[in-house]
Amino acid sequence: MKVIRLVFAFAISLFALAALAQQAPLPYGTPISLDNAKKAAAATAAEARKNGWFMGIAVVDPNGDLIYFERMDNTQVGSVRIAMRKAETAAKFKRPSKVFQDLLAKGDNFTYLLGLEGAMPVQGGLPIVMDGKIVGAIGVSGATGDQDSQCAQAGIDALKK
Amino acid sequence: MKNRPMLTLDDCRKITAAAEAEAKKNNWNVCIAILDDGGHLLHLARMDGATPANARIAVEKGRTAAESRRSTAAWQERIKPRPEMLRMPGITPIQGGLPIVVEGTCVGGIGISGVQSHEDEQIAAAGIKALG
Repeated sequence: MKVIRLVFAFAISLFALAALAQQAPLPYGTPISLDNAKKAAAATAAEARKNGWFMGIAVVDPNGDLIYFERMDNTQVGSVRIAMRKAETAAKFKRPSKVFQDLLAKGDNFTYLLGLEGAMPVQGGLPIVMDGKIVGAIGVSGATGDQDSQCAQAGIDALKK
Repeated sequence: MKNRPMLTLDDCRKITAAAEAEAKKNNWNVCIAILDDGGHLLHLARMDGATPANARIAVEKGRTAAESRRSTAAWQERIKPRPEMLRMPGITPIQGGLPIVVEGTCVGGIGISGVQSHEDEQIAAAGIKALG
């Protein structure tokens, strides 16, 4: 009985993931350049500084591997790994890490997301899209989830200018 | 109470800029990682053309130097007569990582990966030099 239930849960999770994937069909592109990664991180840091927040900021390639990282002075040490993992999540799953957080908040049917390899279900990780392709992701950690997201978005916006 | 110096983000930017300049001058594409004295990442820049492996290796070289307060080249020599030291946790004994020492205190480490090991160390040294 337990096995059947497990199989059922697995089938549902595959289905749910497939449905999610349809919302984010963008292909991966050439990894973001170091110059652009620095530009995004600088805008993120500026947004944080303006508000008096201290952040770890990670920019990764489409595989989730680091291209650029900086830790603002006074940032809590724990945010180093978390910023990296949020960015990794957004890159590897082609969607904001907030998607997972929101699904988990919906209840029991989505607790399987906690076991999803490489996915951190906490907002603050956003894919970086250029010319319709995912070229990397940015992950931010240090303040509240909303504040982390706000700073990550500032980094994304800087690349559109 | 004892006070100890600490690397700021500005210090890290200075070190990375100098290391990047040294690499560019030689047409090398490398990853530059700076960690604090507890082995936690402060700053990382992977130049275009450097690989994901370079990113990981640079961090581990920097961690080794930062936490052990020794260059990774010194570790490379140490394990030659005593290969059992390879089992030491957190030690990557490959040249290219240097401790960053300020006023006699190790404040962190820098790790470079991307070219030959002695060239990696040359870049690391150029970075530290920029601290003055």
